[in-house]
Order: sequence, then C-alpha cells, then structure tokens
Amino acid sequence: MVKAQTKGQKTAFIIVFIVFLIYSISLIYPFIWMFLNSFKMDVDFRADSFGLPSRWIFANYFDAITHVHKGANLLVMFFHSVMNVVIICIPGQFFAACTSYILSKYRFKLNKLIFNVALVIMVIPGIGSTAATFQLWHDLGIYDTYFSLFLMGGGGFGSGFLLLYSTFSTLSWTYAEAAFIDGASNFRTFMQIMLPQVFPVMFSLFIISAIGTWNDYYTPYMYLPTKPTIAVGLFEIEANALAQQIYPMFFALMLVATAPVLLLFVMMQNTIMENVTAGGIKG
Amino acid sequence: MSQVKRKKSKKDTIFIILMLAYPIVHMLFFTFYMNISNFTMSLYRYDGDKAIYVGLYNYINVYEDIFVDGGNIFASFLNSLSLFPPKFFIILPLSVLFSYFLYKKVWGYKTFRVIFFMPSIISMVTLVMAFKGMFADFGPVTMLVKSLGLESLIPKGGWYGSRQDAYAMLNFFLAWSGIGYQILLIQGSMLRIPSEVIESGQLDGVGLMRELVQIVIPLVFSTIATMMLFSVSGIFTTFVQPQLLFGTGVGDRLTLPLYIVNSTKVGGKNGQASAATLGTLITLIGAPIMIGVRALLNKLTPDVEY
Repeated sequence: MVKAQTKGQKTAFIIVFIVFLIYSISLIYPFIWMFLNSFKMDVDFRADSFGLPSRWIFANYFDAITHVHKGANLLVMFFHSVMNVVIICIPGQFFAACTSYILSKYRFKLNKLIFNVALVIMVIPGIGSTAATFQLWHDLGIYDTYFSLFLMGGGGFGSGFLLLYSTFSTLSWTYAEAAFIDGASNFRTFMQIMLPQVFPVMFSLFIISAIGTWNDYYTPYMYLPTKPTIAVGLFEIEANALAQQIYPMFFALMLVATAPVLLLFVMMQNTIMENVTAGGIKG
Repeated sequence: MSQVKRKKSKKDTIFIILMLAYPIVHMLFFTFYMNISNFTMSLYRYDGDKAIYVGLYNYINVYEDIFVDGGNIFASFLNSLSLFPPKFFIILPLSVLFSYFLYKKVWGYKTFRVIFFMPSIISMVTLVMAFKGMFADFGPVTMLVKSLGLESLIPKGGWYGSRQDAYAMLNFFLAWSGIGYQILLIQGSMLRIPSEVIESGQLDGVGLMRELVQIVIPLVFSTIATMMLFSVSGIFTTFVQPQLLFGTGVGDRLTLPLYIVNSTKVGGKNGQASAATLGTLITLIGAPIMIGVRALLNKLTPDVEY
C-alpha cells in the first residue's frame, strides 16, 4: 500500500478496503452457499438453506450429469457450447486478422473510408434488425442450423478488429519485403510471415471470445432452439427447479457447468486478465 | 507508424479485394440489407400467412401505445431509460474512485483484482441464478433481513413485486455484476500512466484527491469516455439481464430490446412485424444518438500523449 500521508487519507483507505471486502464477499458467498446446498436433500435445503448439510448427498452431482433436458444431458449441452465456440470464434478471429492486416498495411483509395465506416457501425445498436434476421433464416430454411450461426458470427470488423489493427500497425514491414524479394506472394507473406507474428494476440483474443461465446445465452436461445447450450439449459432447468424439487441438483449442475471456465481461468489467469482489461468480453 | 505497402500491381489489388470481400459483404448485409428488410417487414400485417400491406399502421400503433395508452411499449421505454442514470451518475463515478484506490494498491489489491474479475468470466445465467438465490424466500438475504426484524425493508409484493421494485433490483444486479469489471478496466488504463508523471506531482506535494482529479482522470479519460458510451448504449442493448431475472411474459417488465426479442421469438408473424417496427425506430433513433455521443466524447477527451 502506498503510504497515506494524512489521517484523512488513512481513513479513506480503510473505508475503501472495507467496501472492497464486503463486495468480494458478496461475489463469493453465493457460490459457497450453492456449493453447500448442492449436497443437501431438497427437503433439508428448504428447511434451512443456511447451515451445513446434515448428510452429504453426492448423488446430486450424479443426477446433475445425467439429467436430461430437451433430450440433452450435460455432456450434450457441453458439446453444443463447444460447437458454438468453434463456429463463431475461429472464423471470427481469422476474418478480423484479414481486415486488420489489409487496412493497417496496404495503402489504397478506400482504406480510410472502410476503416471509418467500420468504426461507426460498431456503435450502432444491432438489436433493431432482430426480426428481419429471424425471418430470413426461416425463409431460407436455415433457422436452427450451425450455418446460420456461422453467418451471424464475426465478419471481420467486430471483436478483435481494433486490437489486431493496432498490433499489425506496430509490426515492421521489412519482414514482408524480405519475403517478397524471395518471391513469396501477398497471401503467402500474410499467412507464413505476418500472421504468425500476431498469434499470441490472436490466441488471447480467441480465449476471450471463447469465454464470451461459451457463456452467451441470447444467441443459442434465439437461433438454436433445439441445440441448447449449457447456458440455455441451465436457465430452462431452473425455471422448473422449484416445482420439481430439484434445487440442490440444480446447484450441482450449475457448479459443474461453471467449472471448465474457472479451470481455464486458473490456468491462464494472467493472459486473460491483461487482455480483458485492455479489450473486453462483454462489450 | 511503421512502413506500409503502397498498392502497386494488379496482384496487390486482387489480394486486397479477396481479403476484404467476405468481411465487407458481411458488414453491408447485416447493417444495410437487414435494416432495410426490417423496415419492409414493419409495413405489413399478417392474416395467417397472408401478408397485407398496411403502410404506417404499425408505427401508429407504437405511437398510440407510447403517447395515448401508456401500454407495454411505453413501459419498456421507461424501463430502458431508467437503466441509464444509476449507471452514469452513480456506478461510473464510484468505479473511477474505487479503481484509483486499487491503483494506489489498497491492502489486498492483488486478491481484489482477481475477485472483481470473476463476474466477467462467469455466465450471465449463473450470475443471475446466484443473485436470485440470495433474494429468494429461502435465500440468505431474505432470511437475514427477516431475522434482524427488518421485514419492512422487503417490498409488499416481494423483491420483484412492482415494476419499480423489479427495476430497482435489476439496477442493483447490474451494479453488482458489472462494477468489478469496470473498476479493472479503468485501473488497467491508470497502470499505463508513466510513473514519472505521478512522481513529479508528488514532489510538488499534490494530495491524493488532487492527484486523482487533476492528473489521473484527465490521463485516463478516454477509458472513462468509453464507459460513458456504454452507459448510453445500455439503453438500447440491455435485455438479457431482465429476461433472466424476471422471466418472460411479464408485459410491463420488458426493456425496448427485450420487447423486440420476445415479440420476434414468440409473437408469431404479427409479433415480428411489431418487433420490426420498434427495431426500425430504435435503429433510426439509436444510431444518430450513439454516433453523436461518441463524437461528443471524442471532442471532450483531452488530447494526451504519454
């Protein structure tokens, strides 16, 4: 802690510390609460959601993994979530690399115009055309397919574009020129010389967009009704949890579902935090 | 700025076109074509599957709902607007203040950073469920309030009883789930301030408050401006949280985008026509507002280089 010089400053630091502590507890406690309750029987949970389980029931976790919702169990929902990540994030990263590379490295007439239009479009609310998108996928017969998901995914000017643009801008063109002298084509230079240099940035961007897609509720809810991801499944199961008396099992399910992202975070904490505080997951 | 390639040969032109073709078509398609087709949809009503051209009838409906009947679109409009003031006037200033203390390495700052980050990687669904659990009848917050004899704190119809109560809860949820990330973003940009700048201020005997207001805030204002922009765009984009928190089907609990989502998904053809109408209005009104606010914030941001 930086030395606080005056009494007033010391008090300020103490107050902020207490506020941070309370906020941290408010973020962590719900998960401890769910964890403890995930080992209870439903009756015990209703009678007292505060205390420790009188008997630790591990069966809730077994039930959580085998619970079937809309014909999909946890593994199937995991699979749907992974598919969404693959279909949205990998092409998204690639197209963002294409646009940012061309716009940052090639001078041509429309360059500035394209860049500025892309910047303006980024701030326009996209929700307005939901009805048209929904209807078009129906008319084309591709509603509820991964192909429509691919079409809705990144086109190259969305997530990651600006960060990659500034990364490419800082790269020296000398590498490319050397490749041209050796007879490499534009495309080969891009793929084999320039692109590998931004892989670390692309990798972080991929991880971040993967977490965002994994957690996304709206897109699969709206456009993939028969392919519930883990986020959609959790929400729909919760809606009936009280009536079906399966709350403890639901908590178990929720914790198992959160585990992969937490695990990823623990393994790559620094990469994720640095890049997120520079860019952003949730927009 | 590093060197760039000037377009020389035909091959370069072809390469540029090939690389940008899909992204540009994608952008034109989703921005222009979709909004035009959305506008076209808003000019029709449906009798079964049969489309009937009705001109501006759908727009008159929206007008009457807002200005005459005070119906669900009007409620959604108020709900959406109500999300802005708390974000802009309370959460953002608090985030700046708190991020400064985090930057000043308040005791335990490393741990706090990690904990504050957690909501960003946890699914919104899970966060809402955790929040709902806390405030459920059997949940810790409700039990605690009751055991302290403070039942009067709980609104008569429950935490989400009336529209106002529900939106107070939503704002509370948005603050709880969002402030940590916002603090980290601002603190992240504070960390990029060169230490000499701060040190020279300290040599001049600048106190903490003055350091924050006169040195740090101007240097990180571009990040704060982005947050301001987000708090405006929240009016047009916040719908997942109310949808998860209140469930679907409560007409006066919607936000404008949630109204669009619900009408599209479950409203049938005529619901989609209404959604297209409201969507066209949101784009027509929202786009200039967002572009204008962005331009204004760019103008207000001090031109700093370090």
